[in-house]
Amino acid sequence: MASRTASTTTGAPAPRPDPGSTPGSPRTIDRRAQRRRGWRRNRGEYALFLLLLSPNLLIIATFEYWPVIYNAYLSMTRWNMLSGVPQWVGLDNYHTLLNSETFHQVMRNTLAFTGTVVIGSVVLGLALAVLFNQRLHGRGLVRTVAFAPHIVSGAAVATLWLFIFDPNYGLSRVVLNQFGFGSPRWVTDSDWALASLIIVYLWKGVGFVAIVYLAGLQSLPEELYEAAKIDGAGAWTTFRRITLPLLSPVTFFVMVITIIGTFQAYDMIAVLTGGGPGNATTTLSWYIYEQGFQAFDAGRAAASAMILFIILLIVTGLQTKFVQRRVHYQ
Amino acid sequence: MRYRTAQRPLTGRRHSRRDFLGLAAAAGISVPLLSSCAGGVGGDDDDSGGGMGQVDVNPPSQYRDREYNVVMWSAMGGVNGEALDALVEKFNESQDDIYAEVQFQGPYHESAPKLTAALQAGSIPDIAMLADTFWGRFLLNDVLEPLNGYLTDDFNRDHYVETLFDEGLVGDELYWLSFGRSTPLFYYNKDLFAEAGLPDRGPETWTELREWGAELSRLTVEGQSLKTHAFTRDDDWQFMAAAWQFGGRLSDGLDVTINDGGAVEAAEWQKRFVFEDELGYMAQSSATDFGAGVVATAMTSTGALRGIYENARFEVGADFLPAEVQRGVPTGGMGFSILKGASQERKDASFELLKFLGQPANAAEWTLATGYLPIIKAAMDEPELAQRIAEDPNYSIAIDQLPEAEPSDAIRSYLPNGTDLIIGGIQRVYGNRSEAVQDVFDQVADELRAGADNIRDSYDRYFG
Repeated sequence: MASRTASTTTGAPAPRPDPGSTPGSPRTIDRRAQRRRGWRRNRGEYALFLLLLSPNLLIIATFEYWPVIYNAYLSMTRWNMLSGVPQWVGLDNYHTLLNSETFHQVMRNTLAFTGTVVIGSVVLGLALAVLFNQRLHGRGLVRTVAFAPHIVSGAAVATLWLFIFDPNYGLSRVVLNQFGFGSPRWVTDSDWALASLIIVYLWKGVGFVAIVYLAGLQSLPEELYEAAKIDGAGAWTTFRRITLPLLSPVTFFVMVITIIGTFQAYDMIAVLTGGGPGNATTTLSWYIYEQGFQAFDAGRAAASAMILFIILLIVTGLQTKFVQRRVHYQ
Repeated sequence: MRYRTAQRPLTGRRHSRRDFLGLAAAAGISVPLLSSCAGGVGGDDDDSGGGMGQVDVNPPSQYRDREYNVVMWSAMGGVNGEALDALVEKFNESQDDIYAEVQFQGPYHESAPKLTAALQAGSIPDIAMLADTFWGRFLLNDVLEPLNGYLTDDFNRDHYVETLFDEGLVGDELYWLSFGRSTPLFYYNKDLFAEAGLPDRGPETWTELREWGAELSRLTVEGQSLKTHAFTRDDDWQFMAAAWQFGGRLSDGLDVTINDGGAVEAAEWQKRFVFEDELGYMAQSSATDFGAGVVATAMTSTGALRGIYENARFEVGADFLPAEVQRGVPTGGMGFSILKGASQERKDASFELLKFLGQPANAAEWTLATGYLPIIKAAMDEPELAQRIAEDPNYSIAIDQLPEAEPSDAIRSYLPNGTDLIIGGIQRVYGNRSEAVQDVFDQVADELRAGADNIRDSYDRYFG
């Protein structure tokens, strides 16, 4: 309420001034006085507005903003979290990180992991959604089954996959043997560990993406498809020219969710690989944990977290820009 | 209409700026509030300690009016956790003044950060169960209580197996009292060994194990050729033993030697064993694979003996660790420290509990329930334990091997992420065919040295 009043007094285009009126003329003064009166009247509303908002603001500030600010401070200190007080070191931690080969590997891992999971989720999720959208027998059951992994806890999913991946007695070995292949040592081989992580994250997440896409598909207007049919468009052209563009808000949503999810990936990494072998599956979020709770290096952990924060800020900014320009709303 | 309201926050710059100012103001209010909390903790440099509160404790009704409450933070669940709970309950029943509560905080690597947070918050347990590679970091940060003053004529070093007691000493002062102590043992599958025509014992040397591998790999399990040995992926304890056996060390004090001599040779030997001989592999869990019978041998703790017995459907053999150029047996496991920050009354009460756990009958009960080494000399004369040792050679092996045992290399014990960095290195040895051992260990050594430089001052204060 308050904001709408505010925008009409201050933001709405003022009526065109009289050609004869000059600055300082009685009419202008009158308008200024009016505005002042408006402010005065609104001040009370603002106070009430802030008062009503303050409990939430205080909670958000305490548990969201203050940790970010404090983390920014910690990132410029050296502190083992046990003794004394943090010691100011300026940008040292950032300097060490940006010049560390390990950190470069961590960034490459994060990029590969996030990129593959995001693209994989979109492609597989959309494919599944198109499949679920067909009038097939038992699709209700299939939809439920596909969605199920999403609601199971990450630790449980990862434990299950540890059994599947086990090269001695796991399901993956049984399946691969059917095709004449031996099982790789999924989580203990440097060449396969990141791939196994990606497989598990995709498996867990793709059902959710498919359901979101399915909802999108079902809300698309039939007329466009009928028109396309009349114009003689084939299935692929219809999909590429109509379905895909119309689904772009959904794709946008899916990408945001998946990017944030993969950047925060922790639980399944902890159970499946612990970031190993070596640093083969150490992503940025796991690295923050390692620095914080294995090395007890609060400064370096905080600096890594700030880098994650900045990356997510940039990603969010780009996405906001992208969504305003490219996404078609119906 | 709905579309418009949804869009508003995106375009309404004016509002978002105002909101931000509101938030900033709110943040400004909360800053002094929180930093004053933090200041209270950070300023606690007082050496005598005693200023910290106690974490929540919930005595059941029958113990509610006891004079003292003692909280022990434990890192043990499962069979071992139950055994500890039973002993502490026995302590509560044995006297009327003290109520002791065991609070499980997750395994060592989870409970250590929790203890750190508790110390920061100024609200702490009284006793902490700390692994041999975890108590050092707390020592260097001056939060552990020196324990010599609590020892008595009938409860002191003489009472304990000296090698294990001495590991808690810094100079002459005791900071850590051994309890669940162990060494690695060499476990072998007696059924598979018999099938391969091998003798009923562990190998004398790694070289002998490699020779036996030729016989063992002729057997098949689940359609695949049987692997001789499973290497551990989440611990560097076994590798440290191998490094010693090949004549090397991970470090000498804080001077890192992992990229030199025997440590490199051990890793190169094991890498060849995995990738060229194809006799070994890095297991997701070596104890699980061994218990499931899919691998012929594994090295794991004496404390895993009970668990392996329960899983295995074959006859379990245990023997001394193999040697190569020399023998090498590291100790491991955990003990208890009392936190300096607790009040004197709480610390006194805490030590009463530790004394109780160190009574021969109780120590024997602990060893019987878990498979950990007997730490109290007289415990080995307790009838039930004496009988078990006489009847089950796997128990006596652990005790016979003990005189050869030595504590971990310092880099592993005192650098908080020492083990993590070393584990990362040996995972690359077992899990990455293409990397040269020397390169991997050079990198690990660099990181260890950088870490060591950070703790050297405090280390020298205690050990210099």
